[in-house]
Amino acid sequence: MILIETSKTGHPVIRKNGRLLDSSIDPIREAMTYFKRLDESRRFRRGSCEQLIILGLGSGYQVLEMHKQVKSIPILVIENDQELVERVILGQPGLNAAELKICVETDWTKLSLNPDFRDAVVNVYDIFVHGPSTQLEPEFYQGVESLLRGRDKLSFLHLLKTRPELLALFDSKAIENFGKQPIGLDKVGEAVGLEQICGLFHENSRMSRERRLWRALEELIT
Amino acid sequence: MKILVVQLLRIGDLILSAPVLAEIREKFPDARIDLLVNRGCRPMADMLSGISQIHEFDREALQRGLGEVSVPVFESYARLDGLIDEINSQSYDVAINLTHNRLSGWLMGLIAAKKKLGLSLDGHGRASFGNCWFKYLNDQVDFDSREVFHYADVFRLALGFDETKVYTQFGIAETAGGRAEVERFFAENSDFASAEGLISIQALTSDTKKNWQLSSFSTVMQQLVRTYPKVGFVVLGSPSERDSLVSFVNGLKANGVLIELGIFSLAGAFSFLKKCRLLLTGDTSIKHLASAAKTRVVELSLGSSDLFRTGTFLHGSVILQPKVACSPCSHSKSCHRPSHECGLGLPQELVTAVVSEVYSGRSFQLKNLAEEYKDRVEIYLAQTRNLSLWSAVLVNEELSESNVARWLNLTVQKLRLEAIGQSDKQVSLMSSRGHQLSQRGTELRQLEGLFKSVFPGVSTIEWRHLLSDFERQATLVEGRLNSFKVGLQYLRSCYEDAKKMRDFIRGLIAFREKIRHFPLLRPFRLSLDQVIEDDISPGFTRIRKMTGLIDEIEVRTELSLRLIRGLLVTVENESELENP
Repeated sequence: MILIETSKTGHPVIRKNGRLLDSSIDPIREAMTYFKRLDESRRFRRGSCEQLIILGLGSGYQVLEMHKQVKSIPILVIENDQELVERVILGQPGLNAAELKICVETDWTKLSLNPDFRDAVVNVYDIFVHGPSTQLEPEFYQGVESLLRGRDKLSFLHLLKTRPELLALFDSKAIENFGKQPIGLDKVGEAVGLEQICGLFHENSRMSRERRLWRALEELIT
Repeated sequence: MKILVVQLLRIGDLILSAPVLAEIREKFPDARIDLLVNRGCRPMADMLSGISQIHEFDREALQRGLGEVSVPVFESYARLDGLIDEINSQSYDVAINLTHNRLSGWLMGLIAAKKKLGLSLDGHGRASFGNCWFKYLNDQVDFDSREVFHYADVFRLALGFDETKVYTQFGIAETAGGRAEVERFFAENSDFASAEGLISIQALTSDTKKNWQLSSFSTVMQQLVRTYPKVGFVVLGSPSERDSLVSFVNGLKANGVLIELGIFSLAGAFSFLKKCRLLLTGDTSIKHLASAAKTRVVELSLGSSDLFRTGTFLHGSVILQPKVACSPCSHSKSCHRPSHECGLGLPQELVTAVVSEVYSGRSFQLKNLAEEYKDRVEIYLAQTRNLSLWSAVLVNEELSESNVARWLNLTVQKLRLEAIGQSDKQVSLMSSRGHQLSQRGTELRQLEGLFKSVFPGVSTIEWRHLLSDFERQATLVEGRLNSFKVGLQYLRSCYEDAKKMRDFIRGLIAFREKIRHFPLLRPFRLSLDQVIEDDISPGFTRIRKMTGLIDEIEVRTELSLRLIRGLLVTVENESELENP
């Protein structure tokens, strides 16, 4: 159930299933503090990021603050509650900005079919989390985060759908075998990485541009 | 014209590429020149004048993306893809790869340019180089050889630039920020105003194998102060080295040495080096930066420092190399000895004496020092005035087969590569190459000049003996080659006959043993090793390789003989003049 309350500073704040999604005192200041505290090593701080992806919309303050601070980088918000999105947008017209996109999906395994999501993940992206939203729906957001990282086999195979240019170059048998092999997520060494990806390529006599990019990356592993 | 230059090694390598970049600018004043460099080299790239755009290769971010599970799995791929798109959006006319590693080769293969020079790997993983000089740059064999060309020379020869002079302009500009850092340094350290001269010392390097002990630097400085009480020392370092150097500097200050720590940016270090009389270091980047600042260097060639390929470029600089069997060692491997023998083998008093000579602008004691320490250390002088190439000449070089053969072989190698370079299939930046093979006389004159300066006072009789020996050795090769050619022709008709192949290889082994002790024929021996030990290739491939080798030996022998005979004629003429 979604309720709208007013913070002490007079700003609307969403309460969902009995939990406040932003500060009941000053949600704008809270968002500013969140941004300030983001680590200096974050990719977007070093100018090496083309897309921000925020998990959870909340009452929209965190998203708007990020947009205000990093105007040049497009933002994609992933949310699983359509009603919440509609109600937040009504109260926060700034969320209609062209650089801001909100992707609503209740099943994370279907995200790879969403055009906005697909457009976002072909870039170099940085992932941010709206804490209260993810705590309310931990299973969904954990799934989304894993998908965005693509380091376990299931997530990787879903994420791969967003890269048809690679999928076309992979050996279908290798992908089939790749999916079948059990993976111990507790073992970091078995996380999907360069070696596994390169093992999926169809070994044609002439290498595609994509294969050559991966060959170049292989040279960086010492 | 739009030119992209790829240099994906370290800062030192980028500085070493600066002269060729400056020369490209000079030859193509209207061209737009862009760079692709490692992100860490950006501050240095910014100091190169005339560069329009710098593409950064963020090696660290790419490696992090590949190695850390918290980073999205396709991030590095997306990054690299984006970089290649960014580069290709410029539609370069020429892409020049001054790097000699496979990574740069794959990238070059992905870069769309009308003309490519340097290693490039195509869709089949096949390498192309554009021309023989770039192939030479990438053929990194025989690392302990002294018969190699300096990288800075290879770059310019590979681009087809005029090779009758060494180009020594670096095109590195001082920046306002750099000057301000230096002014701040002198304002904060007013004691240095009374110093009669400045010596900068870069004691630490990023590769610990190249480090000389701090205690040894300390001894050298204290010894120098006894001779030059008013000399000022500045120990250069990066911010991360500050903690390691503070106590070292303070210890010397307590002993009355005028010394200060100089933590500068690259631009600051460049401006500061311009004010110094010399730099003492084992570090690659700073020695090349000093060369660019026209400040003489006393280089301690330790660890993996390869003085013949990457030695201090500035004419008149001195390079000290301890005589240790494992030197130079591999870049990528750690020292296998319990202590760094090369560093320990460098006597402090020798370094003091050499620094003293260079500081005072003299050089006459260097030969005596080289003689005194000849069993432990080799002292080289960097020269750019002989052979039209950078060269490292032993200050006490003696007339010996080995020493003379080194210069002869270098010249032959250059002539050979130049001859191949004339072929139509070779790609060059210049539309026509200035130097022709017919100008062999130039090389001969240069060799004569070099021999006169390196081996002064050697009698014509000694020269005649030595050159006659060389002529005999080369003739011996010439005679043997015919029988190999006949043998190969026969083998081609029965290349699957293992016994006949074995017999032929046995003949090659015998030939190799025969020439083992002839320094002039050393390059052949190494090539023969490769063919003889290749028992993996199929018979037909082996025959092809052997044919190539025999042809190569034939051409090089012919070139050697021409040079030797030319030198002999000069010797005879001089002899007649001496004894009419």
